[in-house]
Amino acid sequence: MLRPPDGLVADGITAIDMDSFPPPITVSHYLVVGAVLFVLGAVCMATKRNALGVLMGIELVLNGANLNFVAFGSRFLRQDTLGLDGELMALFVIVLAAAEAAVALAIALNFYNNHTTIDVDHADDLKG
Amino acid sequence: MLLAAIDWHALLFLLFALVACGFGAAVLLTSNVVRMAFYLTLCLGATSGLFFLAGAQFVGAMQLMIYVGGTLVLLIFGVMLTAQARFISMKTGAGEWILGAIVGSSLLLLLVRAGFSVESWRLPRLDRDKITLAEGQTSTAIGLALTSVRVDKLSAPNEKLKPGMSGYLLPFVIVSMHLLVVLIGAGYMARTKRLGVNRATDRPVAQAPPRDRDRSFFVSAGLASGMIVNLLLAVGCCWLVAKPLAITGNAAPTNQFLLQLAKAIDAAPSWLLPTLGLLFLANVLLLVVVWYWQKWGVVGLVIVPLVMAFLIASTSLGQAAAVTIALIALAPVVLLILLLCSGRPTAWSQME
Amino acid sequence: MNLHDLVSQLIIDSTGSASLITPDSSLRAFLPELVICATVLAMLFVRLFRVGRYVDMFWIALAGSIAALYFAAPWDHLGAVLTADQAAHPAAVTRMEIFTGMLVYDTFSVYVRSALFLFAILFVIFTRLSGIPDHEDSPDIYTLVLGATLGMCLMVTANHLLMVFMAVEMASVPSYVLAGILKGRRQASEAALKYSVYGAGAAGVMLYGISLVAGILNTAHIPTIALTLAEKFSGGLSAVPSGELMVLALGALLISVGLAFKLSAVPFHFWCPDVFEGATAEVNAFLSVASKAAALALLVRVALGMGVIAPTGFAPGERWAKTHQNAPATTPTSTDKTTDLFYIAQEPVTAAGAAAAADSTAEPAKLPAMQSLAPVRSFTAKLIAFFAIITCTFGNLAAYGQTNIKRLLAYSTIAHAGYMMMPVAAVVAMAGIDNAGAARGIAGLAIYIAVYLFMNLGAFAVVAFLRNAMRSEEIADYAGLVRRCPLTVVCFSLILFGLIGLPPLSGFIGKFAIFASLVDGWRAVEAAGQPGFYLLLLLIVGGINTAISLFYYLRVVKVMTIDDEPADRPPLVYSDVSLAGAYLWLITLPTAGLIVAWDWLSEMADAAARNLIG
Repeated sequence: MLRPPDGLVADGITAIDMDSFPPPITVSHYLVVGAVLFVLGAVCMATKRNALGVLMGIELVLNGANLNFVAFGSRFLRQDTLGLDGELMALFVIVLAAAEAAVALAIALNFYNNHTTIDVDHADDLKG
Repeated sequence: MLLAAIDWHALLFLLFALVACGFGAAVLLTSNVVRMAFYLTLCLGATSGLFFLAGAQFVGAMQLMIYVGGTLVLLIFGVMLTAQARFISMKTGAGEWILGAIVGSSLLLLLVRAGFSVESWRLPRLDRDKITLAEGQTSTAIGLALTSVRVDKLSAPNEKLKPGMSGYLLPFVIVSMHLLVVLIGAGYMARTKRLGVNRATDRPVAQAPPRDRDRSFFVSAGLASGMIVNLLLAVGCCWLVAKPLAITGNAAPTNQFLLQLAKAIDAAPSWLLPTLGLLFLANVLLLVVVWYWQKWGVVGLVIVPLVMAFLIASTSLGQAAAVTIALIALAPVVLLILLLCSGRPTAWSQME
Repeated sequence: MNLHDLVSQLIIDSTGSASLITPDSSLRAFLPELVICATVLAMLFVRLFRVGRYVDMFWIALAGSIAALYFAAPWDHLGAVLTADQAAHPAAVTRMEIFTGMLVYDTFSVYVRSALFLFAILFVIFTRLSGIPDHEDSPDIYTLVLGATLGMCLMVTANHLLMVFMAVEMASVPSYVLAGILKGRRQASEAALKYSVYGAGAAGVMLYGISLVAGILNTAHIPTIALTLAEKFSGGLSAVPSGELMVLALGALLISVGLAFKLSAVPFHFWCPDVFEGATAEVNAFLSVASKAAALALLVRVALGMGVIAPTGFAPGERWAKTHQNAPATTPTSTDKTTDLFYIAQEPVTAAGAAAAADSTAEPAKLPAMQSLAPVRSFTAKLIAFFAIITCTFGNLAAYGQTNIKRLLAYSTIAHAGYMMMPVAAVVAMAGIDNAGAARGIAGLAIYIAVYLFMNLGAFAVVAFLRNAMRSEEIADYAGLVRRCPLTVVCFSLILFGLIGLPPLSGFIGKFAIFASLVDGWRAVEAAGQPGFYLLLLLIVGGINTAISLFYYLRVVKVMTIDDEPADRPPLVYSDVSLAGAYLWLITLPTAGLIVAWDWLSEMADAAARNLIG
């Protein structure tokens, strides 16, 4: 259960918390989901050997950030918010991610055509 | 009774959050790329559910339509194009797993801690009972914001933030340019290149030019005399810059032509003479270039007089002077071209 | 305020006055970028017709770049700022937020964008001379180059966190394709893959950082971020809850990852040598000059934007209204209820609106806000200084032992990114303490960018032309070149000496300006009673690195001049007096001769620094 640490919750709020079964959702809960997606994506990018797997990791990272934006902009979760900016930025990120995925995929296919592999571990002609 | 006590919002959140995180983890843990794509679809679909729950219906719908319906289909397409048995399942080494797990879990710990460390993020909205569905209907406001009209500015609770509420017309328009460029780029990358020999690196190294190119005496003499004349003119220009001719008084030249020249120079703006001097020097260089068998030197020789004429025409000296100078300067160039094209074999045909 | 007013404001914001001289509207200030967009469209449109297939896209790209430079008009705008009565001068640029705050237009943006367009012109001519791309590829490649340039212009002018991310994407994604421009080659496609994967990852990390910063401050507009931060820190550093501090620092670090990647700063430089080796020299020139200049400008925008209260400027349309007193006022007066289309019009505007009006008339005191931002600036300056030190040192040390000239120049590029980050650290540290000194630091950076443009373009041009001549990019194959093409070797040597920063050459001017700003910064910060040792450290590290860099640059010169020609070298077909050679002279001329016109360049740079700090 994702729950704010005890003692950090203001008194007025704990009273509300009592009468609902799962405690009310806050921005922090969204941030936790966003952080999980972000970290999963980052680890995915670092460990996957398949170029397409790396691309999927990137999608996860961007989604984690997007979830943050939506949560910060949501009026359901707190009084003073990022407002519409949050939703709008999330929208643009979706569009930019689509563009990035298209190019990255084209590059991965080009790599496949030249190397007949999409294993990024085989990308070692250029030694860093 | 029991049902009434359940906060459906929180329960649905838990459901979607677990699905999103669970399938996100599945993407990471599986080594089969086809399964990865499928899990990613479910993960992103659950995320769109979270968007709906946060009141961002429009973003949620776009997430389903563009992300799940577009971008992921693209990725799956890529999976199909490269689907060979040996690529379907590529396992990550144990060392990378361990390293990834350590770094990942510490990063996750940091980010989760950060998520709970700000008070306004930690606390739910106080007047949750008063939240109406209308507050979540942001589609109209989003549409207007994309045309740069922020209607939510009017009801923004924090006055100080209002000036910072920008309209999104520019990103909305400029992103179309980005998409255009990116599609051209993706098309370029995915297209197979005809194995042409057009590209500089594909061409065989050019043949070395023949060593025994001969130049007729007249061409050599013309080039040499041109260099000398232009050099003298350049020096003359510098001389005139350093020591301007006097127009009146005892020092004034008695020769009528020189007097006219001095008056013309005096009338011209101060930048003209140094510029002309530089152009004469450029002529010398271009003649050297022609000496070394380069065709572009000839083109340059034609352009320089035109530039001179244009510069003079733009000053107070007038267009008549400009045309005269251009004709005088072009005449030797024409003569040079005629010389280059005469003889057998012509000098022109031996040039690069 | 109702919908009608909002729309009227938008129209004034976009079109302003129709004057072509006074940049008084978003569209006028954005004209160079619009020209670039039109060029891209023209290249697509021409291809629709059969005749158009024979048109060489080089000419369209060249014309578009020249037109963009013409409309950016640095000679008008930068010169006008320096005149005595600049307020009255129609062409003088003041700080102006355009497109309702998405971008900012000021002399700095005029300067850097002009440098980008100038580079685009020189670059297009360079590609023509070096033969990459060929006729078949050229429309696509020039589209990508101009598309990336458009993104870089947005990086230079970004004033909103969304624009920061979007501009980085717009500049990067076409660059990924450019890295793989020779798509039939294994190395090129590998370079493109590495660049795109790492680049996308860094962009994702930066986006997460942006989300944290925007979420805690509830705004994404950079000047408003500065105001909100100032409010948060107004009670001193200790009054801010430690949790919020941690989130802010975390967000700043994540954003710095994205910026460091664009700057190829250590430890996010690993892509740079590989991509440079795999991509062609032409693309390397583009990445190492244009991309780097834009990334530096973005670093200045973000670091100064968040750490300094933005100076006041005009809103679009205001200057026109001021100079034409009889013209209709900027604030539309129509409140005709019949034109109101949406429910918001019925909302009362009384209390809140009046409070806002009162707020804006009583100008909030500026100095306390600037002072309360001091911890933000100190953090940013130290972060940038840290990156600068390790980037500079690592780049120079790793350049030893490189046998491939493109890898060597890649590490040289990394090292120069380090040098160029140094004045930014000094400027951020000085802001609020010695604003004039901070402006001089920005001017130093601007000089370095201009000087660096010609040096690196020239270096990669030599590499490209020699590759065409002998199909090799190994330093060993350059041995004894001085006996084959002496003029080119002289040009290359001058450029390499310039990159070291030896006195009579232009590189020295840049280095001098940068180190001077570090000394300025150290003195000012110490005088204000704050720790400024890190600026002194930067100065020392910069000096030591200059000495280190001497050796590997000189090694190349030595190989070219003293060593004997290798017996197994492919035959060399290259003439010093060819058109390519003439291009090299042209590019080397500023490197060798800029010392004569130093005043002129430093005036331009001074003008560029005018509107950044109050």
